[in-house]
Amino acid sequence: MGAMVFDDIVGQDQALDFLKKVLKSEQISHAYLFVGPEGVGRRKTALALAAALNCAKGGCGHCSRCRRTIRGVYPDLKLIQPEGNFITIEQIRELQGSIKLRSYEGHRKVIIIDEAGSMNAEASNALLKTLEEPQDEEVFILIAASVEELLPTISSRCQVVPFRRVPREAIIREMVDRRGIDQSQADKIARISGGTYSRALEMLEGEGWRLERREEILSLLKKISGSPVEEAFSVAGALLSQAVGDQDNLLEVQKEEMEESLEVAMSPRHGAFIRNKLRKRHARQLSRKRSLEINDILDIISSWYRDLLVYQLTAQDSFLINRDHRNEIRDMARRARIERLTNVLKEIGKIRRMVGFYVNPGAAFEYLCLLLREV
Amino acid sequence: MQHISLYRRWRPQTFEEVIGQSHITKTLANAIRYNQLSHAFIFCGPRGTGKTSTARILAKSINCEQGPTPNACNQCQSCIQISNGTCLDVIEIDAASNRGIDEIRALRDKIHFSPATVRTKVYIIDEVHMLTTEAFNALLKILEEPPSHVIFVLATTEPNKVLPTIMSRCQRFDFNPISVDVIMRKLRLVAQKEELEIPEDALRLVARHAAGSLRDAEGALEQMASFSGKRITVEDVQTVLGVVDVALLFEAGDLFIEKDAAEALFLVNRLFESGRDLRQFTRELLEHLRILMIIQNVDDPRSILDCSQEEMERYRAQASLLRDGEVQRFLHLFGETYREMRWDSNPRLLLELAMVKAMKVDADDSREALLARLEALESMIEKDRGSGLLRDRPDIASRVVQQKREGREPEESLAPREPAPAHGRAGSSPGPGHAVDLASQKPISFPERPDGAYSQSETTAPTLEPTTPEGKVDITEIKKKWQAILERVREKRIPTHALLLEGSPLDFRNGELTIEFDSIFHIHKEKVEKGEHKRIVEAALAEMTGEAIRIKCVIAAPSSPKPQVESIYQHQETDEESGGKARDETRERATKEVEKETREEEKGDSPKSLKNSVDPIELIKARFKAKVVQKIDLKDEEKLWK
Repeated sequence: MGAMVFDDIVGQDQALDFLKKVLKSEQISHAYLFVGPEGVGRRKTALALAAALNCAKGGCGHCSRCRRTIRGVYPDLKLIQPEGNFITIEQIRELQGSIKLRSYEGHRKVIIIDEAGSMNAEASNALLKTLEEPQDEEVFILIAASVEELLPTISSRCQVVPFRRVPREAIIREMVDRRGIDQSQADKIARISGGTYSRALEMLEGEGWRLERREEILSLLKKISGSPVEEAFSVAGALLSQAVGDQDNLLEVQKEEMEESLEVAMSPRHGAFIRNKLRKRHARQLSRKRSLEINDILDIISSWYRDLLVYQLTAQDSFLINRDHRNEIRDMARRARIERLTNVLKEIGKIRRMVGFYVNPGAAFEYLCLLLREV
Repeated sequence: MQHISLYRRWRPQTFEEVIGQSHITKTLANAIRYNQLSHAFIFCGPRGTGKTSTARILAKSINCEQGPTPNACNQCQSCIQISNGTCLDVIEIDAASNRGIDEIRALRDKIHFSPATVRTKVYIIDEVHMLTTEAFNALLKILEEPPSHVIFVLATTEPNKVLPTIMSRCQRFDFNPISVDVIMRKLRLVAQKEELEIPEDALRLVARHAAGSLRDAEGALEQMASFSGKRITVEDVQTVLGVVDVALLFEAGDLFIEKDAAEALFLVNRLFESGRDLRQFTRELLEHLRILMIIQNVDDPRSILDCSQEEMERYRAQASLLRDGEVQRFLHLFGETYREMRWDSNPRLLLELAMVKAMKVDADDSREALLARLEALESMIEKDRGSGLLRDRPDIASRVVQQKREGREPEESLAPREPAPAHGRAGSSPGPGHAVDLASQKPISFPERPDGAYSQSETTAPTLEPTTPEGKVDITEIKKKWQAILERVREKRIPTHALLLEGSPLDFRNGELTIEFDSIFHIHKEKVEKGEHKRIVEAALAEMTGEAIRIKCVIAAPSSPKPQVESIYQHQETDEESGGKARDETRERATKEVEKETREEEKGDSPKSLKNSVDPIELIKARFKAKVVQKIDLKDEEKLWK
């Protein structure tokens, strides 16, 4: 039996079940819309589906077609991603042009539109007619976080395949069986990852520095309640310094790119041009990286206060995120007040949004820490 | 062979097949029949309602070899060509991809050529709202006076984006979203032709999921077909479409009634761990709350909602246990949460927070929540006035409110019951056939009376005895229970309570209670004596007395002084005079003593002179005012209201 390409995808039994049945029935629709949170395997599944559609054996995962498709270099596979913040009408027009051409290898053309929610109004509308009545045997796979991100006229033309957060057990099983991690560590990671498998994998990167960082942040949070004002400021400083994360890694990569650029430059002027572009791109990368790390820290902080709230109301530790710290949670939950906790959680949400709008993160953390003192 | 989507395979081919838009198809068919066709149309309406299909049918009807006829044959050369999209003279333009002025110029250049194979050239410009302003303006002149061999059909989902100058040159047709029933009918037909086996409930789920769009419905049906093969079950539909199980929504609704924050958190986490889409759950929860709100406010909700009789009963049961204000608060709360989920990557936290806020008003700082707290406060004060017993015991007061809400159904609260255990449903009436009066609903642990009147060992909730002889209700009893009745009305609906406050019971005979209003309150009287208010008052009377009582409202004769609401104490005296049961007397004495005690420990500054005055209402008012003033002072000090 085929469809081996799907074997690597963790915890999406329902979506895979559906797709396998579709493949078997050969009633392939011309457009699918994969919706679900980031990091649960939508992209991977889209590529696997593309492979299965073109593989002679229905997705063996080994033949040249499968391998090329999964790597994203198959000529009849077209991958569209946002350039900058949006997918533009030019990209869609270009796509429409290429659809008109015959397929290279005589099979179905598959068009994957990643982050389809970032199509702007012009692009979305331009896609409508193509999506409604494709000319040949194209299959569109749109990937989005939710149906609402898209124009209703778009989603109404697609078969929607929901992707779910990966159940905790599935992540634990995967960690234990395939990666040889011990049960308690796997449970901890699965809880932190909140059902996104890619996040769980991140936790393992770089000798688990993320896990260490989390411990440090939690130990800061444990002592902030009721501490003097000066203490709050020092905690804020400490939190901010954690946001740097493994920036060094990125800086290293960027430095290499810079050096390479000198080699490929054809003339001094050309070199300056490339470097200028690179510098801008690197700055964007850095600030993006930084805001991701800040979000990560805010996630950790909010998970802590969420746990306090949950424990206070339920007196159970079965679905605490930071269950490995349940003793401290039990003690602190006893003292905390519900209104304060809900308020802090709301404020953390606000800060998250503010940081997205380039508010000075240092000031944001100080504000937050002053608030946390009073919990 | 290529697989063609259901919605394309079953695209309507004649005007009759276009469903749910008869106002449009009839008009068009008649226009063709009487040769009064306009030269430009604009079809507006949401996705999947038949715009493009109707445009094509129109093109066929005009150009059919048998015609022009409202019933295109679908067999002649031109019909077939148009259906296939190969007809040279029926030109379908995707305005979203060809949105510039150049495309429109090209169109304008070609428009004067006569049609090649058929009578009339038809330009179908789909998604016309995406044309640029320049393109729109370039179109204006041709649209106004096209050559006689040309007809334009514009189609759009967003008519608000189309220039008014374009609109005014076209005949506008608005396509409506298609109702669930009509969608179901069409789906049934398609399922039959495709030899799919699908139960009615599953069909309804699919139709509802489509939200008025036939294309969505047929797309979903197709998705079902490729998932389940020829036999589709309700479970399959729930799985594939990710529809939230209604049972879960009812469960959430019950939790709102019980205010059980812990259970609510369990529910959220159960959903989360099973990988459910919490945003979708929130959306459907909103829909559930919307239904409850409609039921609470509309006399005939089935005219708005389409659900089966039994579903309606379940909704109704839940709606009756929630106050309207409360449902509105939940709607605001979860609506806000739903919106935030769009930007926030942590839907579980947001939903958990919303649940906690829903269950614990104190944790919610929205305007609606403050209002709810204020109302709770008011009702506490009101209760205070009614009984004088709950003062200074807000904890008990809120428990009473909750328990009363649980036992709201008249059968339940009137049903015979064992003496309640200490912490059980202390709010229920203790003896058979007794009307529940407010006093008997209090789970207050009375200090044991020294006289041992009811030192009933373990029971902290005293089994209070009836205040009147069993069975017969008379005016004295109603008067005595008036405060409690008012209270019950208040719980049901605050406006009704406000109206009824101005009235007082005058007479009761033959199952009809006469309520007297002072002449200046004639508006109150008129309102109370009809419609919803009347129903509520009568329901409250039935619950409090155990008998069906009609009400009649009268205006007091101007000469007669407004009768006072008689005091509890006076009634007790009457009872004693009329020789009520010995136990009643003991109980009443006990109650009186408790009241006296509470009153005395209340505060020294309560005017002693008032204590023996004729009108105890005044007494209570005086005390009550003093108390409120003190409370506000307290708040001022804490600057809580700043």
